[in-house]
Amino acid sequence: MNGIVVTARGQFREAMQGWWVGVYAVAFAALALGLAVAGARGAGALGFMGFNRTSASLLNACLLLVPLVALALGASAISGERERGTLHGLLAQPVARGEVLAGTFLGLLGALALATALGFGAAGFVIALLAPVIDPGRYLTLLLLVVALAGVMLAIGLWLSVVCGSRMRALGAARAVWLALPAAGAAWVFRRQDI
Amino acid sequence: MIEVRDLSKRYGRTAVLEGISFAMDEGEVAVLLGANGAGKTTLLKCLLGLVHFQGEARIGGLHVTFWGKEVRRLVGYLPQTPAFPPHLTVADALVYYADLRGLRGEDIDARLAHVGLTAHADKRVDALSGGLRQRLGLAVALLGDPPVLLMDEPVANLDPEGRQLFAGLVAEWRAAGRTVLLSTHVVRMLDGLAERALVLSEGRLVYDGRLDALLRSGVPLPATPEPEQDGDTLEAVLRAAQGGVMVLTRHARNGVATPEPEEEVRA
Repeated sequence: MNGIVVTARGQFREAMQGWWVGVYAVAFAALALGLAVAGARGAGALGFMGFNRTSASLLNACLLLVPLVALALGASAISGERERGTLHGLLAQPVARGEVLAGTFLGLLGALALATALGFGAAGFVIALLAPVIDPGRYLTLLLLVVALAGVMLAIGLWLSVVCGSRMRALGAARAVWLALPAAGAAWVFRRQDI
Repeated sequence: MIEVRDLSKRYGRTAVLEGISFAMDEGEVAVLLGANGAGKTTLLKCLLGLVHFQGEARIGGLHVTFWGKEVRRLVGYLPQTPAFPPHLTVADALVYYADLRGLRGEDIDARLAHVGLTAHADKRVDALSGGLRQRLGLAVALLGDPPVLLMDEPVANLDPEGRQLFAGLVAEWRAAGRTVLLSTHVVRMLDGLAERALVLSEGRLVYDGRLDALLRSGVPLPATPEPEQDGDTLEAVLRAAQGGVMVLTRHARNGVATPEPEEEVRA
């Protein structure tokens, strides 16, 4: 248990000191605000259209962006540690491999969740100030679903990171999964559609 | 403290270690010798339970395959090229590994002073030279004062001052009754500190005996070999060891070639 906590804390701290958390949070905030503004203009209104429509618009964007970021992050985690030699030193300590894996997952998920919440939160705050009709409950639900999606994709990325020989291979496989998942989803829906 | 019986390791079809057997008592200091690719690092990884292998290895009576985590609590390990999370400072890295070992209240400043890293405590790990990283690796290996130390080329990146410091540490560990197994090319430096040598050649243990006997065998072993001399030096050691093992194997017990006390190693 101690191994999970210490590894998670280390991964979270390293992620927070990296550049990607800030970039990811700003990208999400810009995306949310941009979608809200574009949606309002399309509907012929001036300004922001509020939480409900923003949530619906964001959903599609999230389905593309979040898996990509989470898969890439997971894929480069263990393989990256292996390549820079830190995995060897880590596993030589009194920790189980499962603890290292679980700690890595939790630490990275925490960083992803924080970056997502910062991005969504900033956009949601601005929209809430300007829009008269709000439904923060649905917006919060969307945020939680996005974090859950990030968790699933992160786990797949970590699996690739463990089984692929190098970081580049793991990242390549992660991109392949990212491309294949929407196609598989579309095929699954198409098979069940009434023509 | 360390018991290895008929340990073998293969990577695919390649046998890296074959039928290795030896035992080390508490407080014993031994050097592990062998040319590059002889299997030294793999043997240390087996003892840590980091790789799967055939046979049996126990540390402190615990089977490393089944009690890996508990075994690693008893072992301080210094890898050949220590690497640390690059975003950490030297002091933070030591705290991180102390936390991983479940050590509370560890005196980090004293640990850093012990290996001469006090002046570098606030430097980021990725800004350290190879020698300073090696010292940090040493400090990590010594966290919690484990009874067993496994060290893979511990002086490879150290300057003369660092090597002197390391020799002092080995003497300290020996006095403290720790069991130390270290692979090194700098054999002469450990004369008088390590009493025993284990020599690997092509994955087999070809010599298990006294280090001073090996050194007295007339093999020219420089105190601080230049990199290009290492190969020659090791070749000479192996030749001496393999010469010795022809005599020694007549007295092999439990698969371990152990010299009789009065025997000299033949060069």
